[in-house]
Amino acid sequence: MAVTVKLEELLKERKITAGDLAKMAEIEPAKLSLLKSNKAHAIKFETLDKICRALECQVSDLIEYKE
Amino acid sequence: MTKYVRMFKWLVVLLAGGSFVLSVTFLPYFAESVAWRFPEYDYLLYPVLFFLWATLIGFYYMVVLVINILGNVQSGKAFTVTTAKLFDRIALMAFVEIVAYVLGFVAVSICIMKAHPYFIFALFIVTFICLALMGFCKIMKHLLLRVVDIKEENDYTV
Repeated sequence: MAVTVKLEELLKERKITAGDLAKMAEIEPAKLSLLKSNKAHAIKFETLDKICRALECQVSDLIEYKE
Repeated sequence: MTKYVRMFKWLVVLLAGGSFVLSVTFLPYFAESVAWRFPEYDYLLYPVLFFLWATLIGFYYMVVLVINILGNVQSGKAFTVTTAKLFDRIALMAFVEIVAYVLGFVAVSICIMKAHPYFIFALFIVTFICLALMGFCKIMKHLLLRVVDIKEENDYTV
């Protein structure tokens, strides 16, 4: 799919583990893993809000569209 | 919920067992009494009796499939493609039963050279029940596949 989630890069940049983010954003680790591996079919606004709040970033920092 | 499913499973087993006992004990007795009332057709007694017993195999296979579906419900695998396939197989078996009864009816009608009202009535009852079952199972299969799709989408929504 052309839309990808850059969560792995973002976590590397911020030097945070997925487990830490799961705790900070109060998201299930399994769901976060789906997002990290780009296997998710959809993201809720609520989840985007939680991740952006926890990582102090914009949605555009998290999601990218490549042709 | 599991308690009710288990109860329903036992009810299905009980009904299947009961009908088996009836088919072994009452059916030959009934067939003989019919042969006694219509002596001109008594040569059909055993062919018809064996045909009915043969068609019962299909019904008992359907019972096994229903028990499998209930087992899936019990183990939390109700909304799976496997369950949808089981419903599809029941619909197929119902269709096979309809075809068997129609062919049986045609064969008997040719043998006695007329369409006997008793056989027409029996054919109507069996066809109606099997058609209803087939329709129900096809609808259930369609709905289950839709649910499986929605569940998958939900599971992959973060």
